[in-house]
Amino acid sequence: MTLDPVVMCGVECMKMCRFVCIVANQLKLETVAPYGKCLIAYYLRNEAIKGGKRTAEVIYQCATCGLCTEWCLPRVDVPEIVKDVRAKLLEKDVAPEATVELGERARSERNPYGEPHNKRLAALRKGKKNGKKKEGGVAYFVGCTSAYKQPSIAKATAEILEQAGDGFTLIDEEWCCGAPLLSTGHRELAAEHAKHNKEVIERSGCDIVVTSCAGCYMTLSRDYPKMGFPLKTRVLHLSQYLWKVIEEGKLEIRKTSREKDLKVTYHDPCHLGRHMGVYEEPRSVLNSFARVQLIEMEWSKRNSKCCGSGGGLQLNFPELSRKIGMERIREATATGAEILVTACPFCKNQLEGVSEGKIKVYDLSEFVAKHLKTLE
Amino acid sequence: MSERGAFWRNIVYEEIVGIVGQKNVYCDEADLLCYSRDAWQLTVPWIKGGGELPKPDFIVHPENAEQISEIVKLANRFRIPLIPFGGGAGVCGGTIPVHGGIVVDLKKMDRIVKVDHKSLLVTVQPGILGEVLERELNKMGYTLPHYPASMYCSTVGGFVACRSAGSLSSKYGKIEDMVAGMEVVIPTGEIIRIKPVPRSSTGPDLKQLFIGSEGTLGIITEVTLKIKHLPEERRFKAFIFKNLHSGIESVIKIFRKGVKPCVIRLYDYIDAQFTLKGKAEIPEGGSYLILGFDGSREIVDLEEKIATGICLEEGGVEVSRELAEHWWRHRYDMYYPDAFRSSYSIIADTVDVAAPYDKLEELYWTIKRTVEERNPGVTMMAHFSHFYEDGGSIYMIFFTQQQDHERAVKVYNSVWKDALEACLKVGGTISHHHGVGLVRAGWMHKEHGKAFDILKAIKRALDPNNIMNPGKLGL
Repeated sequence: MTLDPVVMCGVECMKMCRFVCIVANQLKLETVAPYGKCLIAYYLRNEAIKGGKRTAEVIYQCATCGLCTEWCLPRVDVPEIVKDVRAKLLEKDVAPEATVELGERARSERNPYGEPHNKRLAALRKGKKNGKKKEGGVAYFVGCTSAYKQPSIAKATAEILEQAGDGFTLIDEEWCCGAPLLSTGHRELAAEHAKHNKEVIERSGCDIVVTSCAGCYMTLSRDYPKMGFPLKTRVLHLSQYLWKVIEEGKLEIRKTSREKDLKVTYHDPCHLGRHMGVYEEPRSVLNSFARVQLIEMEWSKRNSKCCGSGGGLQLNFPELSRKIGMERIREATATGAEILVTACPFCKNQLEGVSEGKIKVYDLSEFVAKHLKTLE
Repeated sequence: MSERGAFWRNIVYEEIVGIVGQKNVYCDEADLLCYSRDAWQLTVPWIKGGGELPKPDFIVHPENAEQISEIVKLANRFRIPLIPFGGGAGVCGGTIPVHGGIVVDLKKMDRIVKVDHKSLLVTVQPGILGEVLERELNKMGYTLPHYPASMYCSTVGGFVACRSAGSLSSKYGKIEDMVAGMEVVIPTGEIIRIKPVPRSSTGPDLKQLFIGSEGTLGIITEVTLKIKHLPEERRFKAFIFKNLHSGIESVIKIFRKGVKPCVIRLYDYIDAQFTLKGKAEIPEGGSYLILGFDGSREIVDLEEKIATGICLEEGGVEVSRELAEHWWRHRYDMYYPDAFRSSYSIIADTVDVAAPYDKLEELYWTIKRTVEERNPGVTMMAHFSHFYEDGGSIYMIFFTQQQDHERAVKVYNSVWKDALEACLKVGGTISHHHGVGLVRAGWMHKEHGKAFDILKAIKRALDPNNIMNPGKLGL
């Protein structure tokens, strides 16, 4: 017997995950809850409805965060259903304008922001040999947000990689990993990016490719194989790499008997936590700092609430995305922490943008680079 | 309203926008479809079989009672049905817009208005989800001891409008026992308040008129509820009996001793097998009892001791309390879709009935035998999920696998008819906590007899234009 997840969620469920859906909690509307989206997916599939602009709006009002799946006993993968429908709506030419433009920008500049491709790695290449071709070693896959929107993350990551090991190489001709393309329905374009990145990463000859971005990590390691482009190279998120080198003694964090006087809370990026199961490494890295008192938010780890920027939500619905981000900031400040650390440039970009100075927001790379010398 | 056409629709739309603003009005096909149903099981084979459901004309998202009042006045002028909507988690079709009209989704009114720490009262807007309220109360050390299966997806307004029950009802009662006061927009658009007082001797209790009115007598816009401190301890016990009778007798004796377990659930033989999944042996025809006790440790100790003694005297065999704790942790699991129910044409539903103890066992056996005899291929099992000093409710569950959706719908309707007929024959009530909606609408006159005329007269007096959720509750 083949079970149909669209029917299980959209037709058969009593809406058991609705109370955790970050979008439904903002818009308070049945239509945008996971149940509503799956019911629409069901009717679209059966051609019982045509699916116009409003249908597309609803289907794009999802961060694909996957918290609903955590609260779903049969584990219906709503984000995958949503992405399937988005691909079809994009073909039907009813997808939101911002999503269409995203594709155009990615086609021309190979990043979702439309920033010049030739500037992507320029800052990092200064003082560094371009595309070192030695066999083995670590390559740093910078990602679009670190490259263009959060250069301090790229800089911090580079510093740590230099300090922790035998240096690193950059990937010649790195393109967007394809995460924003996949999540918004640009499947063919995402495959083009996957094929390209596989070639350039493998050509670099590295053993390990490290990403700053949770989305890059998920896409390179989980989605590329599904798309037919499995990487031969091992992929690690920076948090995993950091914990590895700390454990190996390659990155030393001095022990101290000082009190835990730095209250820190950690935001699990959906792409790193729920989608890839990496919860402990970033926490272990933070706990390596003797003065860090890590305080969990009410919703953390598998239950972590999304920052609201993923799945094209920030792109297509900036105001909605902002409100969701502010909700997460409220939760972070309720812990009493003075610092909010995350492990994704996209999350950091969002949370910093909505924090209104209520809490300091760092990416893990920035926190580690900043405190490696000053904070034992 | 739909047949009045686009011109009429445009006029009404503009008026609604004038009240709540454009951002709070929806009328696209995608939205209307999502409000064309609730969690009534009949809609499942209906949709899977390609059937259409009635759609509303508009969905509105009011932000306060004043806006609702204006919408009600507008609905009166245009004679448009209004369907109040909380979580849409009802299982009786109570929010299905059978005559079209305006769905009034209350989820934007979801604030906790006030917590009265001295009187232990919380005042909330109707659109707050049960689970959200409970979590907020827990942070303050309180609980609304009301855990319906729909906790994650239903609202306080829905609890009150449908007279819901939660897993702890045997000690704390149903929602009607927890409501201290309320604010309602009545069908003429006036906003009335029933103040929260512990007791009153000023005529009939008007709260009880609106509790369970399923949107037919007004729209609840605020509710004051009685809350409790979180219990110091909650502990469970489990027993297996050789038959159903011994289980029921134990429960009666527990009440007679003055013990008030917060949880009393007695499963019949078939349901016990589903619940225990082989983790404890149960003799053929046996029953399985879960008891829960909460409060201060001393009281829990004493209640547990007395109840255990009674169960053992009645021939009960104690099994690991872990089984009962497992049920508590997984108490909402059966409300998720599963592989069994998701296969092509299986249909299942629950008929929640209740009766005093002198009729309780007869009620169970009469419904089970009548349904199974008249509907070959249908299995009926049950657990007695809510017990009180004078009787209890039976959660009769039926399921059947049919060749196609059309046949499934036919058998479904037949089972309901046979079950409710059997219930009334014995003298039980046709619903304990799910409510009436559409599935029991045609049975209200038989349930209440001549007394139903009073309800109809009240409806005519309050809602002369019959705009409030028409067709529901048999009105």
